[in-house]
Formats: sequence, C-alpha cells, structure tokens
Amino acid sequence: GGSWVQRLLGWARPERWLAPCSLFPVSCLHTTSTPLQKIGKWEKKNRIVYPPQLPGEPRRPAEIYHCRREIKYSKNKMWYLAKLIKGMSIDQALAQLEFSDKKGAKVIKEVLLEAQDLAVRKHNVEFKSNLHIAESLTGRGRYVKRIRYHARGMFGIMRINRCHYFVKLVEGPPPPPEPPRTGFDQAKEYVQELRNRTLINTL
Amino acid sequence: LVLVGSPLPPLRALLQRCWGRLRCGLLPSAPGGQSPPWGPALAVQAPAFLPQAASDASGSSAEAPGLWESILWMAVPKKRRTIEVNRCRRRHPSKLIKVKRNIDVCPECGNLKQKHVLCGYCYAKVRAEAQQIRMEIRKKEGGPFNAPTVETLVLYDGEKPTEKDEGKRIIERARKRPSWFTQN
Repeated sequence: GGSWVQRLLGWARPERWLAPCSLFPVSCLHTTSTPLQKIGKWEKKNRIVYPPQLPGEPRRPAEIYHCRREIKYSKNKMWYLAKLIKGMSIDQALAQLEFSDKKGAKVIKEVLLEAQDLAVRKHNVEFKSNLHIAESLTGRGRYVKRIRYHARGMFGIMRINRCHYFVKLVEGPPPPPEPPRTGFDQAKEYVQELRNRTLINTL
Repeated sequence: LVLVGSPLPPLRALLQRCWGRLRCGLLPSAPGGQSPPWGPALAVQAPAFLPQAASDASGSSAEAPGLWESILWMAVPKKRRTIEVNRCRRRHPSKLIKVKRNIDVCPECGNLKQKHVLCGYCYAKVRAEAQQIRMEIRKKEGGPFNAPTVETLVLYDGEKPTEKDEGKRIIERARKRPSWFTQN
C-alpha cells in the first residue's frame, strides 16, 4: 500500500530537480548537515549577551573572541609567538609578527586581522586600532601518526602536530605592564606572612 | 643478508652479533635459526676478564674491545625531567622571542619596514618595473648573447635622449616615468 508511495516520494524529491534556482528553499542548517563540526567553546564565547547597562555604570569594553583550528604547526612553537604578543596593542602585535621569521607568525597575523575586521563589523568597535590583546593561547589539535622510514629496514613512528590558536581582543589601550617583583617586595611579603600567623591552642 | 667485509676480524664479529641481535629483536616470533634465543636485551655486566691476550690467538671469537664496555660510561639520563624543570628551561627569558625595536613606518608608502632593510612594498614595485624593462630588452635583443657593449638608457612616455646619451641603446617603456626612477 503506502510503501511504494513512500519510495516514490523519496525518489522524486523536487528540490533535487530544481537545484540551482530553489522554489523550495532548503535550509541546510537543520536538515542535511549533521552536527559533525561541534562549535567550540571559544567560538561560543562570542554569543553571550549582557543585559543593558544602567546609566551610572562605567562602559563595559567590547570583547572579541576569535580562533583558528587545526593549524599545521607545533603548539609548543606557537606558544612562543602567543607569549610575545600577550598584552600588546594590536598594531604593535601586527608589527612584531610581520618581521618574525617563524611559520606561525603569518598564521597569527591573519587571525588578528580577521578578528579586527570582525570587531569593527559585528561587535560595535569604533576604532580598529583601539584594541589590545587580552589573552592569546595555543591548544593541541588532532595529532596523526605516520611511519618514518630509517635505514636497514628500521622504522620510527612520527607524529604530525597540529594546533589551535585562540585570541581575545578587548577594546581600549593596553594595560600598563606590571612592575617586576623586586627583592624588597619579596621581603615585605615574607614579613607580612610571618605576621599573619595565628597561634593555635592559646588565648 | 650481506655484511660488509671489514678488515678487522673482531669488528666483523661485532657487526655480525649486532645484526643478529637486531634481527632477533625485530622478529622475535620467527628466529633466523642461526643464533639461540637471547636473554634480556641489555644485561651488560663488566666482563670478569678482558680477553686481550687471547684475541691474537683466536681470531673471530674474541670480544671486540671498545663499544660494549664503553656503554657503561655513556651519558644517560638518570631520572625523568619533571614538567616543572622542563618549563623552567623552555620559558627562560633567553628562549623567549625578543621584542623588536627597529620597526619604523616607510615615509613613501606608509607600510612597516625594518630600519636597516628596504621597504617590502616599495621594493616589490621596483622589482615589477625592472621585470618589465627586462622583457623589453629581451624583445629588442631577440635571443641570447646579443647584449650590445654600450650603455642602456630607459626612456618613458614623451622623453627624448639628450646629446650626452649619444651612443647608448634606448629601451622604450610605454608608461609614465615612476617617481622613484629619476632621470640622469
């Protein structure tokens, strides 16, 4: 009875016939593409919406989260570049990365430019230079094992490294760098710790 | 399995034993049949006596001095390096990338440039123009080994050679003279 009708309808799908000009617009978001690519946590941070600020509150600076996944580079080597640009203004960071000889510098520069573009377009940032890098991290991507052939029939198993790079831009000038801890500061803290001790089992 | 015949018989014996051990190590399930199953892979003790005197008498069965004893004196890590120690080494300021202080703005195009290096953008423009000039020269010469022994002069739109440029070869470029390529 109904099975041949179902098979017929299943075979004759109108959207397949009229593929380019769609009289039947098929939104692929919820029907065809399965949740294969999970939205990462860093990407979701851009979606939080704060309640409107009260009149007396100081202005909350805009935060832009951006990342790039599965970069063909080692996470340890990428970390040095991430550490270099932590806390810099975006112009200074782009300048440093442009003249760095590392492979990851080019990738991070692209990511920063993308993030700057996003900030101006979608996140209501007025001046594209008025951004600084609040956080910049690396994470490990999916590693893949491969055989590396040696002499005399020996082999080694090599690991193909990939990494992710995450960056958080915040509107405003970069915060002033912390003054380095001197010996005098350390001594003061030590004395304060001694003074904070409480004597137990006494009055 | 072909072994290179080395001049020293003790060395050949050593190599044979090395290769036998490797084969046994690679194929433990199917031994080659030549050597009996070995014990632990590395159970090297200091030998009780060094058969130096007997090496001359018995040629191939002598212990080759050097490698298997000097293993005991090789530098080897005693303990695993902890992640704290590793971090101290990897994050030491000498290993971090230094911040460059020699970056300026090019006065011509406004891109960034290093102080002691030509601006990349301006240099790319010069290279493109030079490539075009070379194409013109190629068209004029028409083949290899036809370079004249006189100077070359490049003229742009609406320029005439002066009396000073008498015997020079003229290359015409059909565009306006670029501002960075001064005449004379």
